Amino acid sequence: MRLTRLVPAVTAMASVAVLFAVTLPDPATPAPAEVQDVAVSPTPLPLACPGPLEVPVGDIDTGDADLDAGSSDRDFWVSPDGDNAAEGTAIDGAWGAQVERVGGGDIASLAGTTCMPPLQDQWLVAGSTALGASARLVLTNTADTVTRAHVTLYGPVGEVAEPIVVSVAPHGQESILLEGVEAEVPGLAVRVVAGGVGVAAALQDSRLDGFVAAGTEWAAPTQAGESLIVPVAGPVSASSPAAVRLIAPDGAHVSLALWGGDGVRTWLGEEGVDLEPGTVTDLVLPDGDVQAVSIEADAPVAAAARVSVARQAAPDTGVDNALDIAWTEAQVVTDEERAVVVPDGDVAAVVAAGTAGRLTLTDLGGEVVLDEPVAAETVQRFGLDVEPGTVLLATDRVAWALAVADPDAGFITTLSPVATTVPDRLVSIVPGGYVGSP
Amino acid sequence: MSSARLTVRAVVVSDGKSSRLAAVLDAVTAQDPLPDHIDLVLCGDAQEPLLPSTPPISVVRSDASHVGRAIDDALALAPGRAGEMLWLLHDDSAPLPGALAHLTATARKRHRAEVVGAAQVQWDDPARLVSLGTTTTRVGARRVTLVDENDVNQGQYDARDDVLAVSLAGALVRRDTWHRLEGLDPAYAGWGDSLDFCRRVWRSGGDVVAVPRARIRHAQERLYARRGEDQGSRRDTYSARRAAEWFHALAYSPWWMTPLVLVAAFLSSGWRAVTRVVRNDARMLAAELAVPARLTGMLPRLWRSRRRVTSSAGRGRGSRAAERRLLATGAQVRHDMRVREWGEYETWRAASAPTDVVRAELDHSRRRTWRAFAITGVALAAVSATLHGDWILGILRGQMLAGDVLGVTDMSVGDVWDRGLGGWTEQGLGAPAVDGGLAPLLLPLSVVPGGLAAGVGLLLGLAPLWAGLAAWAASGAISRSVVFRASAAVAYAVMPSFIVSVEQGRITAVMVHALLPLAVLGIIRAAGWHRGERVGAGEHFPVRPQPSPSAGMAGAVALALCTIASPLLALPALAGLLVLALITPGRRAGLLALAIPTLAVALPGWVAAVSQGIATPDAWSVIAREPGPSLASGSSVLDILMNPWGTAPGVPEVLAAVSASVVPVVLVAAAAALLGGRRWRVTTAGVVAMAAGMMVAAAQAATAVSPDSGAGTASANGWAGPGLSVLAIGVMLVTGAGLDGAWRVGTGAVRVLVRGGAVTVTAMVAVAVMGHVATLVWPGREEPTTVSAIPRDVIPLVAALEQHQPTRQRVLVLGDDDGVVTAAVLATDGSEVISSAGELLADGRAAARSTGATVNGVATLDDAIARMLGGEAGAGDSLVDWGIGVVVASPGADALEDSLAQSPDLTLLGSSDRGTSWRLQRADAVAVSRAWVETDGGVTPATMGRSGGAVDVDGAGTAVIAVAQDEAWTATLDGVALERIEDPVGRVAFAVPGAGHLHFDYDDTAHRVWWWLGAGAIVWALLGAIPLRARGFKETRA
Repeated sequence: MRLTRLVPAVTAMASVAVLFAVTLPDPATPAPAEVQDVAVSPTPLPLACPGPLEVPVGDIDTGDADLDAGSSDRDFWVSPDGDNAAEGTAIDGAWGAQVERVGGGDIASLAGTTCMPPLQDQWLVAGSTALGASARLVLTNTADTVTRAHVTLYGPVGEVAEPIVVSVAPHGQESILLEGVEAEVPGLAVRVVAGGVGVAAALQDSRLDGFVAAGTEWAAPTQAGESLIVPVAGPVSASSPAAVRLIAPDGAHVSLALWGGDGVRTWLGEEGVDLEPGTVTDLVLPDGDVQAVSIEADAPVAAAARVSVARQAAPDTGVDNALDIAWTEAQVVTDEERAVVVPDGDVAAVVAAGTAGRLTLTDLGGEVVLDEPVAAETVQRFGLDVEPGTVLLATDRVAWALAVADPDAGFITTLSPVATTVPDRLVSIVPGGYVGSP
Repeated sequence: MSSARLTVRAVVVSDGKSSRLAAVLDAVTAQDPLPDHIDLVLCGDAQEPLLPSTPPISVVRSDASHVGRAIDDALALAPGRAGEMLWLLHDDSAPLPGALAHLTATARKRHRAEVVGAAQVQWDDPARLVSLGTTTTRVGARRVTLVDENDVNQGQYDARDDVLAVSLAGALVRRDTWHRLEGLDPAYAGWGDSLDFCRRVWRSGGDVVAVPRARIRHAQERLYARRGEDQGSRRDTYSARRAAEWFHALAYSPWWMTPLVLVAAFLSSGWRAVTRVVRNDARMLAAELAVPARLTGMLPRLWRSRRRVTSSAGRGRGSRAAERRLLATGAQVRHDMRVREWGEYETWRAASAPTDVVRAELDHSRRRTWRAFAITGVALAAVSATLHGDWILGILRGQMLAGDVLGVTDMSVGDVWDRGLGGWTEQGLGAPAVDGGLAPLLLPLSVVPGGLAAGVGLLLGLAPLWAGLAAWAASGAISRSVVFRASAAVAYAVMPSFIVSVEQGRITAVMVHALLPLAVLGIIRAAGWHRGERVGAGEHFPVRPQPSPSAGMAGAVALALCTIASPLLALPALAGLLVLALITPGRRAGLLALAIPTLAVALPGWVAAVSQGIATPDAWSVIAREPGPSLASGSSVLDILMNPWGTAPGVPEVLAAVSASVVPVVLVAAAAALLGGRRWRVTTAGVVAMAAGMMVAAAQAATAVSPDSGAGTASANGWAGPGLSVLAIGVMLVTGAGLDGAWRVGTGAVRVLVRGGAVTVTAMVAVAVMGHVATLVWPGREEPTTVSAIPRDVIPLVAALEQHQPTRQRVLVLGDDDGVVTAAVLATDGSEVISSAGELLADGRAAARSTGATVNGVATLDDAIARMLGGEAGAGDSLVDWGIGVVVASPGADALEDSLAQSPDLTLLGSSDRGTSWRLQRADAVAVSRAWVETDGGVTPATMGRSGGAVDVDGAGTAVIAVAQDEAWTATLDGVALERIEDPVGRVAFAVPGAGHLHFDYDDTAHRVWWWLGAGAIVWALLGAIPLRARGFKETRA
C-alpha cells in the first residue's frame, strides 16, 4: 500500500486534534440597540374637573320628591374657577377640586374629587356595574387636539372586555356608562391609556339599594406602585362597611398591613395576598376608626379604599339606613409638593405614615395651617378649620387626604392631594429599521 | 509567346541571421537553367558564406535594413538589360529543382506578366503548401490566402494562374517594373509589401501570375520570429502583421474612407481584444492592443504610400476592374475564417473522437445522468416550493421579501449601481462604504424581470434548488456516480445551517452556499482534475480531461462573488489557490490568474482593515465584516452545524430525530470515504477545506459585525454559515473522491466487503437526508422564519412621494415596541440593509475612514423625537435639520399617533393602513430638503440626487448637506472648490462666498478606483468564462 493513501486520514486526524486542542472562540456577544431614555417636560395643560354628577338612569320626575331619581337640592362647587370643558371645568393651574352635594334622589351624596392633569396611563380603581350600581367614566381633554383613549375594564376575573377606543374632542368630554360596556362586574378597575399629552379621567360610582341611594362618589386616578398607603377616611362598622380594592396589572404578591390610630392592627395575617394579573380583589376592612392600609408588593399595584357611612333613610323606603360612599386613592409616599383645595364642610385631614413623621400643611401664603406629628405605622385624623377655597400644600413623606363630611345629611367624601408639578415624561427611544407593519 | 530570350538575375538577400543561406545558394546554383546572374546581397554585418566557384556569385554589401532597399543596392551595381527579370529570394527560401524553369516558361508565355510567383511550400515538407497566391478583402484589411495552410499539394491548384498577389520570395519580377514602381514600399516594414507591390503591378497594367509547379521551400523564419537567436512563434509578429494589414487598407481606400477605415481599425482591435479575453489569451490580448499603437506609428508614412499607389495607376479603369476581380469574395473570406478559426478544433475533435463503442456508452451515461438530474431538480424544486411557496407566490404577485433582518429588497438597478460606484450608503444618516458591498451581487439580481425584489425573492424562495443544482454540477467534477451526485445535491441543498440562513433572510450566506460549488467546479476544471465519464471496465473517458480555462474563469467569478458576500473567505480562498498553483507546476499561471478577481474585490477591504491598524480588533472586524443583513446568534458553531434548531416543534419525534442526525451521518460517510485513501490529493484537499471551513465559521461567529441600520442600532455577531458551506464542500470532495470507483475495488471477499460498506453508508445517508427533508416539509412544522412576502410599498404613499422629490426628504417612522419608541430614518421606502450593511466599527466609526470621527446615527435625533412626542413646539426643527420632512406613526402605534397629533410642528398629511403621516415644515415655510443653502435672504433648497446635487445661490452663506460628516463630500461654486466648515450637529457644511451655481457631490475617488478595478477583473473573468477555448485560433497555437 502506498503511503500516500494515508495522507487524507492523517490530515483529518491532525485537523481534528488541532480543533480539539485549540479552543474555538465563543460567539461574539451581540450588542443590543441602544435604548435612550429621554426625559421630556410635557407642555403644562389645564387640570380637568369632571363636572356635575349625573343620574345614571336619567333625571326621572315621578311627581313624588321622595321617589324622583334626580333632585333639585344640588350644590356644585369647584375651585379655583376655570373654563368650561363641555360639562367639566378646565383649570389653568396646579391644583383644583370639585365637590357636589346632592340632597336627594338616586345620587344623594357628597361627591368630591381633586381635579386631575391629563395622563397617558392611569388606573381608576373604583366602581361597579352590578345590579344597583352604576359606573360612569368621564374623560376630559383639555388639549387643542383630539385625544384617543383606550379604556380597558377589569373585574374579579380579570380583563372583562376588549378595550374600547374613545376619541375626545379638543376641550371636550366623553362620558361612558361602563355598565353598557360590561354589566354585572361587582368590582371594577379601569385602565385608561391615551396618546399625546393624555386625558383626564374620573369615575362616578353610584349605588342604589332598591330605591334608596347607597352613595355616589367621584373616583380619581390612583397611583400604581410597589409601596403604597391607602388612607381609610371613616370609621368602619357593620353598618358602614369599608373595603380596599387591589389590582396588579401583571400580578403581584402583596403584603398588606392595617394601621390604626394606635399602630398596626391584626388583619389578614402575615402570608400576604397573591394577586392574579388583572384581577380585581376586594378585601373587607375590619371595624374601627380611621385606618390606613399599607401595601408592599413585588410588582406594581393600584389600589383604593371605599368607605361607607350610614345615614338616615327617608321614611317609607323600607330600609333603615341610606348610605354614602367615599373612594380614597392609594398614594406613593413622596416628598414632592402636593396640594388640595379645601371645600366647604366638616373637613379633616387623615394622615398615615410608615415611619414617624409629621404633616405640615401650609396655605399659599406659607402660613402653617396644620403641623402635627404622626407616629410610625399609625393613622391620625386632624380636624381643619380653614376657609373653603384655601389651597393646602405639603411636602411631607406621609399619605394624607381630606375627609369632607356633611354631618347634617350624613354625607362623606374625600379629596386626595395632587402633585403641583408635572413630572418629566420619560420617553424610551431605540433606533432601528422599518420594513412595514406585520 | 515572346521569342526574346529572358535574362534572369537572381537576387538573394540575407542579413546573416538565417542558417539556411547556404542551402538557398545551393538550390539556386542547382537550377537548370541557371540564372544568368546571381547576386548575393549581404546586409549589415552578415558573414559571407562559403560560395561555390561556379556559377559565379556576385556578393554585394548593403547597409539597407529593408529587403527592397537591399535589392535596389544590388541592382544599382548591375546595369539592367532589356527584358531582364529579377528572381528575388530570401535567405530562408530555397527553390526546388525546376522552379526557375517553370517560372521563366510562364514569363515567356505571359508577356504581360510582370510578376511570376512560385508556390511556397514548407521547408521541411515540400509536399505541404504554405502559399500559392494571396488576395485581400475589398477594404484591404484582411489578407486571405488562396490555399489552406499546410494543405497537401496534390496538384489541385495547378490550374491557378492570375492572382492578386504572390509572395515575392522566389518570384520573378521584371526589372523595369521594379524600377517603374520603385520597388517595395518600406512603410510596410516587410509585412504585406508583396501584396502591395503586386496590387500596384495590377494597377500599372501588368499581370501577376502564380505558377503552382514552381515550388519554393520557404522556412518563413521572419513570420515565425525565429531568425538568428530568436525562438519565437507567429504570435510574436502578429501585431506587426495586423498593423500592416490595416495600413494596407488605409493606403488603398478612397480618401474619404480613410478616416472611417482608421476608426474601423481601432474598433476592430478593441473587439479582437475582447475575443482574446474570451479565449483567455493574455499574450494575444497584448498583441491586439498593440495594433492601434503600431498603426498610429505608421501613419506618417501613409501619404507617401498612397502616392505610390496612385502613381502606379496605368491602365485606368481596366486595371482596377481586373484587380477587383481578383479581390477576395465573401465566400473566400468565410472559407478563410472557417479554416483558420475552426481548423484546430476540428483537428482536436477528430483526434479525440471516441470509438463507436465508447460513444454508445457515453450516450447511455448521458441519458442516465440527465434522468437523475431531472429527478433531483424536480425534487429540489418541490422542496423549495413546499418550504417557501408563500414567498414564491408573493413574488409572482409582485410583492417583495422583507424582514427585520433582511430589510426591504426593492431597489432599482440605478440605485444599486449608484451604491456600488459612489460608495455612499444611506445607512442611518449616511455613511461612507468600505467597498461596493453587495452591489456586484445585487446587480444581476436587479435585472431579473420584476427587479431586485423578484431576483432576491427567487434567490431565497428557490434557494435549495439553486444550491442543489450547483452541488450537482460540482459533484460531477469529483465523481461521475449519479447516486453520489444526487445525494450530494440534495444533502447540500438541505444542509441545516443553510436552511436557517434562508429562513432568516441571511442573503449573503445563501449566496455563498449557492456559488461556492461553482467556484470549486471551475477550479477543478481549470486544473484538469475533473473526472471523465466511466466506460468499459471502469476506465474514464477521456482519461486525462483537458483543463478548461473558461471553466476556471467562471469559477474565479464565482469565487470572487463568494468573497464579496463573505469577505473573510478571501483569505482561505487565495491561500488555497496559491497552494494549488504551487503544487501544479504546469498550470501555475492559470491557477494564479483565478485569484485575480478575488484579489481585486478583496483589496479595498484589506486596505480599509490596514488603515485601522495592523492586527487590531477593528482591522479584524473589517476583514470579517458581513456586507449583508446580520442577526445575532448565540449558538456555537458546532450547534449550528449539527442541529441549529435544537427542537423541531410540530414535527413527529422520530422524524425530528432522523433530521437531527443528518449532519453526523454525512460526516460518518466522509470519514468512511477517507479510510480508503483513494484519490488522496483530492480527499486531502477536502479535509483541509473542512478544517478551514470550521475555522472560518468559528472566526466569523466570534466577530462582532457592524450594526445594519447605522450607529446605535443593534449589532450582531457574524454568521457561521459561509464557513460551514466551505466545510460542506470539503465533505463533498472527501466523500466523492474517496468513494469514487470504490464499487470496483478489490476482488472476491474484499470487493464484497467494500461494496457492502458502500451500500450501508449510502443507505444511511439516504435515510438521514430523506428524513431531514421530510422534517423540513412536514405540514405541521413551525418554520422559524423572519422573512415574509409583503407589498413593495411599505410607508404611506404621501411619505414615499416626498422621498422621490428633488428635495429628497427623509421620512422618520416611529413605532411602539411595548412602550419603547422605535425610530427609523428612511431615505427609501423601508429600511434597506442589503446594500448598506457592514460599514461601521464597534465604536461607531466608519470602517472606510481612519479619521477617528464617529458617524452620526439615528440616535442623534432621539432628543428631538422625544421632545416632539412631548408636544414641545420647535422640536421638529432638529429633525428638519437632518432633512426629515415627513413623520410617520406606524400602524398600531396609536399612542404615538396621538402624541404626534398634538405636536404643533406637524401638519397631518393623511392616514392609511401603512400609517399616519405628518409633514414637518421649516419655520419660514420653505420646503424641507436634504441639502440647502442658508443666506441672508433665507433658505434655498437644493435639488438633490442620491449623493449629489446643485442649487443657484444668490449670495454668501452656508451650504448644508444633511448627511453625516464625511471627508469625501465636496462642493464647488461656479467650478471653484468651497471650503468645508464645522457644523455644530455633525452634518456636511461649506462656506459659500457669494452668488453662483453651487454643485456638491460625494466624490470618493479611491472607492471608484477600487470599484472599477473589481468590476474590470470580474468582467474580464466573465469574458474569459465564455467557452470558446476549444475553438482555438491557429494563431495562438502556432
